[in-house]
Amino acid sequence: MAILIRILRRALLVGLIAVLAYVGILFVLCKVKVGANALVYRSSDVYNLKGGNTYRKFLEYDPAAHYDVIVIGSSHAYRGYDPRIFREAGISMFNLGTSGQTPVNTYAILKEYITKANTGMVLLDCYENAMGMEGLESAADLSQNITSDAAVLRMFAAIHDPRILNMFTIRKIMANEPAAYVDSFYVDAGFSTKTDSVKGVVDYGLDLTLELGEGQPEYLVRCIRYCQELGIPILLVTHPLPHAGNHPRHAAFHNVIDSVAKATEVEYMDYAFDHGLPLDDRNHFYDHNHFNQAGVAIFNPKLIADLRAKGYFSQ
Amino acid sequence: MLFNSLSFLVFFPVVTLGYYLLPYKHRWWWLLAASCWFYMAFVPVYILILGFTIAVDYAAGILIDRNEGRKRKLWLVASIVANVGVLAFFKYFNFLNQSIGAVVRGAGLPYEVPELGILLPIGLSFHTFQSLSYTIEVYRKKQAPERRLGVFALYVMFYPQLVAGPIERPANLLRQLGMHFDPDYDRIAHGLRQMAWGFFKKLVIADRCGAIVDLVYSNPNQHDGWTALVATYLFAIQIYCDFSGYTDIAIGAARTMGFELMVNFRTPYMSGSISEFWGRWHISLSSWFRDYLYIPLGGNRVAVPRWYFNLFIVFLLSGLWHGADWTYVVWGALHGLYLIAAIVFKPFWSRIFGEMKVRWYRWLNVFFTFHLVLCGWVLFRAESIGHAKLIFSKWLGLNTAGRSLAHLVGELKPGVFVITVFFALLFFVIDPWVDKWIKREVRMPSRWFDLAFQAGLVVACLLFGFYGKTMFIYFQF
Repeated sequence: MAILIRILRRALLVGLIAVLAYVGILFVLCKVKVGANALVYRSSDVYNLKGGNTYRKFLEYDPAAHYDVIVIGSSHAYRGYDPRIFREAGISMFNLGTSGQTPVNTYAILKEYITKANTGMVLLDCYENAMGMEGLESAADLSQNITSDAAVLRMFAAIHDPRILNMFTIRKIMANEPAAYVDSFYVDAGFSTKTDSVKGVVDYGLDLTLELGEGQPEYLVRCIRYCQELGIPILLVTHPLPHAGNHPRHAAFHNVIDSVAKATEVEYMDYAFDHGLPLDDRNHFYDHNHFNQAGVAIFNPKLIADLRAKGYFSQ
Repeated sequence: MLFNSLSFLVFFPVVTLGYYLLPYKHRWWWLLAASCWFYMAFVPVYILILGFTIAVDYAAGILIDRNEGRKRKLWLVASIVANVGVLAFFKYFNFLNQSIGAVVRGAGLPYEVPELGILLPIGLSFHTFQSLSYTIEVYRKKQAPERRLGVFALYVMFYPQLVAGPIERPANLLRQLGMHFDPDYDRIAHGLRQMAWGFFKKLVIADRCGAIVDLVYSNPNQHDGWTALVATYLFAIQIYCDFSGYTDIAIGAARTMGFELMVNFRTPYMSGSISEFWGRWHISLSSWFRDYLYIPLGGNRVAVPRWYFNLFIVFLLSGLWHGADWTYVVWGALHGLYLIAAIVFKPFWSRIFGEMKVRWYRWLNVFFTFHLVLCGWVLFRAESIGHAKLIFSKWLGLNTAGRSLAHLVGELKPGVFVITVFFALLFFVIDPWVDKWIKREVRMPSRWFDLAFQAGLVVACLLFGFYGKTMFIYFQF
């Protein structure tokens, strides 16, 4: 027992020195600027600057307000679902989609920002590229830009990557710093638009096969179950993809999401290649699979009409 | 289970604490169960292969001991055939199949033997050699057979060194498995210190270097000669830190429970000759080959041509042990040739330099040896002989195509590259000193310096560690 206490005392001492050194080094890296930005952003390729779409949307998001629809998911979500079109249809919507957001990240956001009182329904956009990630890229963005500390710690607990702990510490040290950049494409209610269309040669990743990030389908189930526990209807959606896209890969992805939807008794509306809309690969997308505003303007009314047909927003 | 995983952070204290809490007589099964758990975290079903090796060698050990003369030899041969057979099937079948196929097809004949779609059991070459050393030692009557199957299984499966060594000998590890260790503060603290150093080498240096090396070596055509050279220097540091980092964690983890594993590295890049390098690099493997292959072949107590042959064949097989690919075979052959050349040219060098004892001459040898080893690492890391040839031609300026180092640095983020190079250089400076400190050949200046150094290692791992799914390079062997 005496040896155990001695070992613990030593570990505590090493831990204490380590914590002091850790905070001290990060503090210096955050405060010393090289060029326009702090040194810490040059020390790793995963740390994100504060600012951009995510920063704006979480400043704007009011958890005390009520939204008929919360859209959530990756870049497909915040570039593919326009709150203005929903508003014109008499539906209030806020877009909590963020770059590279995986179900692991979505779950942390849902837990901290969604309540029965502020959300009528959740529309979760499912996209194979995002679900192929571990969630670190999104955590880098969210950790610097969302308003909830708990959500960041929740992601750390889920992803088990020490870099998220570093991100959290950077977040605390940089708390009073202003945003380092703005997203000039930001519209409102979490939505960002692009008006470019596809030019030149596009790589549609036709040689890629489906690879899902570790634990992502399980976290998708958790997201669904959480909404169901709160009594909030949740729908899984995949927005249209270019016709030239990778059909076999999406078919495999569809099977995964469909099996999750069936197991959790929610609906999966897959518009990827089966939508009957007059979309073309160049004029309605701005890259290999993200909508531009022209694409959004075609897809969103169809989605709203389909949702109404299914009985949503009837009251 | 990977050492650099969260699971291990839980596994290690639980196993160590459980080990000390249990009465002596029950500790072996606790460690055996923990080792099974550790191994099964990779591909669970492969425990059956390990089980087969253990069963064969356990029985062989007893049967060798019971018999004399021809029968005794027969059981040893049976053990060798079974072990090498498993190794050959899982590791070399596809390689041989591809090589034969290439020759047959090259002769214009059809060849249709399908490849086996199997994953190489992790650490197969390590535990096969460890198990073989037991039967050979029993045959040589230097080791009594182990009659407790569980204890023998633990000798083969002892989790700290199960998947990447050090390749232990029964005289060291099996003997210790029968000993009773009480918790000892100094020993535990020493073990933890060595583990921290191992993690630092793996996470902060090896994996950071590896990220750059991978970019260049996965597509050497895209990079110019300077970039290929820098990448190879970084690979030299990566492979040393990766493998010796694993060894430090293994030795440290074993030491916290009282076991002393073999020393596997002694600052190999400080070697003044290739033969010295092999006395400092992967010592447990080179001594295995020395004891069980080189000396039985006659070693250097034979005619000179036969001595050269012995050296060459040992290194050729050492190359093949590392991997089933021509790059490893040529790498092994190259080291064999280095050694033969060193012997052939020794009188010539002696005449020129005499018995120079000056320090610069030693450093010149270290520099020269390091660069010979570096040429070997090109073969070791390249994805094919073609890639290796391409890199050599770029080094020599015969192929100037490709993007510059500045381009690679820009692609990575300059800060990331600078930090990697900084830690790599820092490591080169401090490694000889830390190595002595870890091996307790020198003492830390003070207790506080010791604590601060360990805290520094933890902070460096947290802040500058490379995280993601990276295996230890030697796991594949």
